[in-house]
Amino acid sequence: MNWTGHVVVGLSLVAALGLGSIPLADPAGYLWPDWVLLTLAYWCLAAPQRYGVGIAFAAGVFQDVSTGTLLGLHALTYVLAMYVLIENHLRLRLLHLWGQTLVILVLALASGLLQLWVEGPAADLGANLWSMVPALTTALFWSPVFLLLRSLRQRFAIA
Amino acid sequence: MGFHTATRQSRTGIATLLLAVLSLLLMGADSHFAWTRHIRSALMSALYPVQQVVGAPVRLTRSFSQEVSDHLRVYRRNENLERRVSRLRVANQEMEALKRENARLRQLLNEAHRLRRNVSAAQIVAESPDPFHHTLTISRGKRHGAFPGQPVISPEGVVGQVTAVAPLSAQVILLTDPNSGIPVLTRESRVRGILAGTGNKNRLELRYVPTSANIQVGDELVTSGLGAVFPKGLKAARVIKVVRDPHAPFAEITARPAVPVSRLEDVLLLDLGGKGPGDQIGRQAKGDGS
Repeated sequence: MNWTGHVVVGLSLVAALGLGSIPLADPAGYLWPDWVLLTLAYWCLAAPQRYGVGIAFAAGVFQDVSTGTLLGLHALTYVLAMYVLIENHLRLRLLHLWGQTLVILVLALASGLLQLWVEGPAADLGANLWSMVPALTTALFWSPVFLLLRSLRQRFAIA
Repeated sequence: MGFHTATRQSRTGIATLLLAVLSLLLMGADSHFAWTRHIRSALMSALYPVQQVVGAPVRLTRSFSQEVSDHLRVYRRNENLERRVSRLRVANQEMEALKRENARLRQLLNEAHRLRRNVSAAQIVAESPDPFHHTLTISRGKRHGAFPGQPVISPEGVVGQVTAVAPLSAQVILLTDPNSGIPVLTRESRVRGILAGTGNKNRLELRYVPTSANIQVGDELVTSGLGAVFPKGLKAARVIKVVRDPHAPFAEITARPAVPVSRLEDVLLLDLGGKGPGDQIGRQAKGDGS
């Protein structure tokens, strides 16, 4: 059992949850990426046999509490997104960083649309389309997050 | 090997399916039942320290920048207010001056009403620098109806009379001028005399008063109406010193002018002929009195 690894993964997810709940002024608030999705995506690609949909579900429930969305909404989107990643992790690992960025963009857009579909039927669609903007920044932040977490993984010899 | 992979993949698939269903159930429960509140609050308290720790630098930076911007705002506001205060102070001074002028003019107007004569106010535009010739130049001339011999007064009393007129200005000889002399009498004992200037702006002489006359320090001197220049009863001066030499025919009497002539700004010109409606009443009143 690699306890250090679990602690590092857990701490990175906790940090991602905390980052996601920082109160921000409007322009930054619209652009703030989904840190939990990025962190989960990295660990699921790096060690799919150890960190999978279960941890995605738990982090998702926490994210629901943190963002105040319907309980289980983020859990569902994270579980589905991680399933896609884990099923294709061998292929995705071979991709260049920019290719992975595109995949993350697609996943973030899909999860954003799912959330919009579940939560936003009553509200104005035009205004809600702004909630798609963070998908773009989430994808753009994939490279730095990937590099940071990879350095962590190599230092602590996780997986 | 292949079997192993397949097993692992199917395990992930089953887990995903179960968790997705669980998520959906959770969502359904959250939107329909109240008990999910407890889960939410428990998880929220678990998240709270994390949020505190991660958010601390942000909050710190924000409060710091808030502090700085507050300071700047207060500073700028203070600067603006400071500027405004000085502007208002200047304006206030102007207002103060206007107020004083207004009060003075109102007093002049009241005096005009009391005299029931047509008067015109004039401003003093120049003063003779010669210490022995007390003359003023005022802003009313022939154009405005000023004429030589016209009485000039102020709310406090007699100032002097017009000696020369130009189209737009007139020269006034003050009652303190050595060449000035106006007929007066004491208000109480009705002793007559001529109030003459001395060349000193604070001193007048009352001439031709017999040594035996009933006159004391503090007596008020008013115009007598003789000589047809000043109307009767205008305050002119107050006796400040009486010297009686038994060998001289007249007493030596010193008086202080009722008007502080060196501090005048506005004066009234009295119309003797009278063209206004007030004149009729004035003459009637005078007629009744005598």
